[in-house]
Amino acid sequence: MRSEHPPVVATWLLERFCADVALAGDLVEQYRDGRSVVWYWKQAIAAVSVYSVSQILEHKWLALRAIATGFVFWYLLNNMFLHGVLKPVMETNGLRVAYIFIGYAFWITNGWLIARLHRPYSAAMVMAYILWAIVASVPAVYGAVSGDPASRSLGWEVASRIATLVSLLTGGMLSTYRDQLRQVREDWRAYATR
Amino acid sequence: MAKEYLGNLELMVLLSLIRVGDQAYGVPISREIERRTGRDVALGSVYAALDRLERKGFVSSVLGDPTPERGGRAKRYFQITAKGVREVRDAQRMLTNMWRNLSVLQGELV
Repeated sequence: MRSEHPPVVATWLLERFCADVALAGDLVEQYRDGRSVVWYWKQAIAAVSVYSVSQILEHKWLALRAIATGFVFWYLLNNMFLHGVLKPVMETNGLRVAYIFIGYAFWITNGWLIARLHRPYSAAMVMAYILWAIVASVPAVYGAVSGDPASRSLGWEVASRIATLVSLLTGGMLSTYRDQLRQVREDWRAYATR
Repeated sequence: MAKEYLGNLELMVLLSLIRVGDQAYGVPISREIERRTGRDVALGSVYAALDRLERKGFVSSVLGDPTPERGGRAKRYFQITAKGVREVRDAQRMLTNMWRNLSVLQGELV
């Protein structure tokens, strides 16, 4: 049976990644008017994509800076510190699970940092880095698909890439959440003083 | 500075704003476009176009009342400005000039 309430995750994404709360309200109104769950999800994904891409295109230099920031952070923490220093120590001591957790914690921090340093376009700039991360992961995934002996298995490669993207998104959202609340409060204040 | 031309969707949004009138917010605007063009339009694209138009000064907006059927979220009402109306007239004039005397479109070469 169709729920009276629209999909929570789609609404959540919409409110974190689109600046205008009225857009989420319009979608909720149409859903309650009889639109389907699939329609709601399609509209939410389209809105997040259109909004992020338009912000990225409008602030190209900022998007490049966000990608550079994420890259430097990744290079220093994930590549040099995690792989170079922690991995040899932790893997020999049977701390592989902890090592993986620290890796994803760094990705969350990376998303958080990009969002923090690129306000008020945090969400779009995190999306810019996510798009870059998707492009950058093509060679590794291609290696796994083509059976390159140096590559990891395809399932592991895809799962770890998805976990990386989710971690970046989580970090970005943790940072934008407070800004979002502030925006809602300002909208309310503007409405109340009208 | 070179004059920026209206995109297809931007022009459609401005025309629907004129048609819908005072109560124009995201839902009626996108419905009007769908009804007139027969195409589905993503609300996100309509909002992105409205955002661009507002920054160009062709549209103004005010926040309305939060309502329960929208989960307590307010509506944003849009209105075309005088500058926006002028821009629509310019676009109409330009497109009409471009269309005039095109034999291909009159079926002569088909």
